[in-house]
Amino acid sequence: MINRCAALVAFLIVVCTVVPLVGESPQTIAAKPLFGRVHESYDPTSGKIFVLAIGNDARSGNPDRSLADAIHIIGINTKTMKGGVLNLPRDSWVNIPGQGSAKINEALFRGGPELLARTVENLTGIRLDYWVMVGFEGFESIIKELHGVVMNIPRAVNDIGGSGAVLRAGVQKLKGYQALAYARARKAFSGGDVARTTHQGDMLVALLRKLRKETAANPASLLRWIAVTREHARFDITADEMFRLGILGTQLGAKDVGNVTVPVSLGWVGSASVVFIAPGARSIYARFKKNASL
Amino acid sequence: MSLVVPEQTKVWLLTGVAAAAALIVTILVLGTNPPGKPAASANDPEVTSVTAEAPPPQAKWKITTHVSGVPDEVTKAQARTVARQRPALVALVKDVYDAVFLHRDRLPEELKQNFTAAAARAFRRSGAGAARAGVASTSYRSAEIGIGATDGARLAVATVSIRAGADKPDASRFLHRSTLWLKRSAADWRVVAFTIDQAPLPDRADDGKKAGDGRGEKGDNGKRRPSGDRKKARNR
Repeated sequence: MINRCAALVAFLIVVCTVVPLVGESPQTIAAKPLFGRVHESYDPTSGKIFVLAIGNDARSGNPDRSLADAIHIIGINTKTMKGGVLNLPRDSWVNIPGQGSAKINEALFRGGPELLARTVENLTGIRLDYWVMVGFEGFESIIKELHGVVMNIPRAVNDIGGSGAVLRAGVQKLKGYQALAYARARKAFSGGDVARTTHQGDMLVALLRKLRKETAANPASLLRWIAVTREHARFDITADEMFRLGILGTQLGAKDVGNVTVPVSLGWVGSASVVFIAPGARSIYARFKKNASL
Repeated sequence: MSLVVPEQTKVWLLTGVAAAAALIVTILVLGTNPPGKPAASANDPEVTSVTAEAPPPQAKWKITTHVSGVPDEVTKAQARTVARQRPALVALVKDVYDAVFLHRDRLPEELKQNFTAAAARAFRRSGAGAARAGVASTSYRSAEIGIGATDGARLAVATVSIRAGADKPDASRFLHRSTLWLKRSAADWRVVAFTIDQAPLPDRADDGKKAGDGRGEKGDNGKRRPSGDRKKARNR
């Protein structure tokens, strides 16, 4: 009996010591943002670029099973130098290619960023060029290393029982953990997930404003943005492509980037609370596809 | 049968022969160079009728470089990598902007060497510099180059400010500010994108930096030739 207990203890010690050393730790995978190309070919001369921005709920201890909490299409028209952010609520009931109908955020769980990108393309008719995905820690790290982001919070937020966001109304600089909490907050808003999705779009525009302001004063600061992102990310796109995207970002004015959430109505599928995208969204997709701006 | 020449004909014949002989002698004398005097040629300075004008004065370049994109401290390896790129980037900036403002005939070649094809086409269309001003006179030239420390120092950003105008007494002057976004493949730096802001200055009195501040450079009369090897360190 004693020998069996000793063997069990020894086994547990070995498992707890050796296993975490094999391969990357779950914490590392959850933390790093990921960049990828949706299609093998990329045409930089088409004048329009579309990037799918994904925020997943991956965190320490849950790296491989993640749902997409944030889904946004960022469009840039390189000829007019205008852009747009189109927000898709995570509970949108859509067709996932090869999987049937489900909430859009499940596409990430079932097939990774590539399946989610195909789902969004199928839904909107917009051909995506890149995807970028970030988890909780990665997002917080990037905001922290960029020394925060200035945002205008329209109403005071108290989501202490949810995301932990506690913010006053007005223009203020959000630290990394505050930005993450605000991006996740939904229970404090009557619009729930739709409101949260819109706030996430606001945050993307605020980051763009920050990029433009900093690089206007010091163009070389773009290199810091790239370095911070690359420090916390894994890439499937070249450094040149990232550099070009960054340069484009420095030339985009925040006032020239619209932030639009697709119109939806609340509903149920079985016992699941979902949102149905309104038919009026089709005209938004068409306009966005044509102009890459909103 | 004997040939008998009348006396009058003899006189005319003798006169003609003498005249011909005199003519021949004259031609021979005039075609011979006096001893000690070389033949006139195109290289003879006394033959040259065009004299070179004094080139306009040019402001001394003020170029600073710094490490960019480092979240925390710069490691020694990063600092070494960045230091190796400084000479090439400094030379690139000087060559390009000398071509833009001083030696327009070299601009196509500099764009071809230092820009990507798309960026070169866009730069030619931009109207940067003073193409119609003839030779420009610069009163201020500065550049700040940020070199990315991460990823093997393959990205850089150069911001350039130049005050210039045509080398004429009442010529209008302008301020040129531009940003070059550069990337490196192996040892080859190229501009992938740029922004330009060029606007006239009110009048010469507002030039904060006169040509007397570092007028020209040592040994440089504005006729500096482009660097043949961008990799070499230059100290101008």
